[in-house]
Amino acid sequence: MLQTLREWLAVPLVLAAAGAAIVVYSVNNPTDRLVASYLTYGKVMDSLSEHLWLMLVSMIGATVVGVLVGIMLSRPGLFYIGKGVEAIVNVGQTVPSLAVLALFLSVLGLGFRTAVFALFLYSILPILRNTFAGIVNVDSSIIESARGMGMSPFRILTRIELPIAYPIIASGIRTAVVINVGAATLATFIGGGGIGDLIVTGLSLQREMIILNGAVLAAITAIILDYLVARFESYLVRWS
Amino acid sequence: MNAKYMFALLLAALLIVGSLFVIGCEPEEVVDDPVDDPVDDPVDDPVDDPAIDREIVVGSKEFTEPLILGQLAILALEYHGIPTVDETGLGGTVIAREALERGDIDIYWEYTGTAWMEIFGYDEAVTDPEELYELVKEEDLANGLVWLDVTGFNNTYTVMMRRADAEEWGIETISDLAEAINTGVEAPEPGTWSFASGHEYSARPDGYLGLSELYDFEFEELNVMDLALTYQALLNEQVSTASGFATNPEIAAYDFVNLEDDLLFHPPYNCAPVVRQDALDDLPQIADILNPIARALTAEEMSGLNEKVAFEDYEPVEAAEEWLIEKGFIE
Repeated sequence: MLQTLREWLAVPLVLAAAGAAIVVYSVNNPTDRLVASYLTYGKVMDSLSEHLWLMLVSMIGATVVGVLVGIMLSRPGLFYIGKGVEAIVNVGQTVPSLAVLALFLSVLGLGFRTAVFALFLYSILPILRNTFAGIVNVDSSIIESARGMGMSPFRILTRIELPIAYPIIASGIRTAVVINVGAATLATFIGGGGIGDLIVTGLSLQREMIILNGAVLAAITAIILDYLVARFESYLVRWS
Repeated sequence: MNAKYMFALLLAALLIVGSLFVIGCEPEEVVDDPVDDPVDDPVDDPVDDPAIDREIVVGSKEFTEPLILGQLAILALEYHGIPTVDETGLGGTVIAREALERGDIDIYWEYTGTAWMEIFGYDEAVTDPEELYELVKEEDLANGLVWLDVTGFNNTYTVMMRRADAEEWGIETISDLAEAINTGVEAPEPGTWSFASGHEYSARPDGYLGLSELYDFEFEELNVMDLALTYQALLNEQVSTASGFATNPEIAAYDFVNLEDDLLFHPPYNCAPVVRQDALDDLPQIADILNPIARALTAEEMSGLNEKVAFEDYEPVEAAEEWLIEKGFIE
């Protein structure tokens, strides 16, 4: 148990420590007064926690909705609708994330909720697409034989299709996480807060130290989350 | 096979024409000696019109006012026969300034206050507009950059409220606002004393930090967002106050009021064309062309220009052209 815990946390802890070291160094050795007044522990922690909330809420929503809709569309009766949705989703993915934020800005107004909603929609895309593709591409002869053994459609889904499609679904979720960390830095433009606050403020103040802190925190968050999701994925594979 | 033959022929023809072109160009560079053939080359002599050799690259930051100012400069220079290249819309201060320093552009309009605090990095604001202009001008001469005449308008930061709220709450100045917040008066919609601000203003010593120190108050909630969205946030009652710029067209269009900066906190932001010394050396007439235009730009004229672009579907170049013709700078 301890062994597993160590395996899980070693990399994230090292990365988090590196990030913390940079933040502590920057707060204690600001390059000038402007940096000193802006870059405080309070500000950094606020941005980080806002960022994590933005991601957490939108990712949980996107995973649940994306996987469920993906499964639904892969049912035989909805297959062609699924193909259509997949095509729309593929196009949707090419819309820049800033444009997605801007689009919902006009409908939902400014702030945290709009940012969460836009991130949620943007993150659904890879999850839904991978779930659909993963299930649809399960070898039909396996399904045939499962049916021949008398398995119900629900059992085929949970016992055959999902386990086989699982790695593809999981990689969709990982893609979504990484996109999400990046896109969440844009929430700051519409008053959604997050690490983007540091990056954009640093840019507009022309202070590299603030930009660096924001960029490092965003990158470390992305790497840690990707690592954890990958771990969780292989853990589930072993378990299933 | 026929196609192959044709292709080879074409290639050969191209080669021949190309080499002729190269050879043909060569003498042009060599003929420098005036004794050689004094009668026959008036065309090659550039002394006639010095403007032809030098293109003036005009840049600007990427919001409405600098875009219009950039077009004003381009149209006026072109009218006086100086070829220009349009590089307006270069992002923020940093990008435009670096482009000017590197020589990627020759001119852009900069604000005195921005230069003082942001580019030169001084922490202490200078509140006298003329003093600030002289200081900035002198400092940049050492950098090989010349500040031409300054505009009549002062596009400084402002704290805005919706007019109806300001009247109902009896708030006319920032001091009134500070007092209302400090005495715990209930806020207008959305019910908190919240403040929509751009990233820069929220973190600058000549922005909200200094403002709250001087007037001795703090907003209950600071909503940081893209600069251009603060007006919309205020309009949609998502905040009760917002920061903005004094000559912006939204203020009139959305029926906001600028709260009077009664303690004179905000530093002056007058605007002037900043020109590279080398461009001015080559074409000294640039100063004579742009100076009268800058002087004619009062706050009223500028916000009129801004409103045309923001709310009347004018392109910056159209608004600029109409204004220049109206004022008789071009025909």
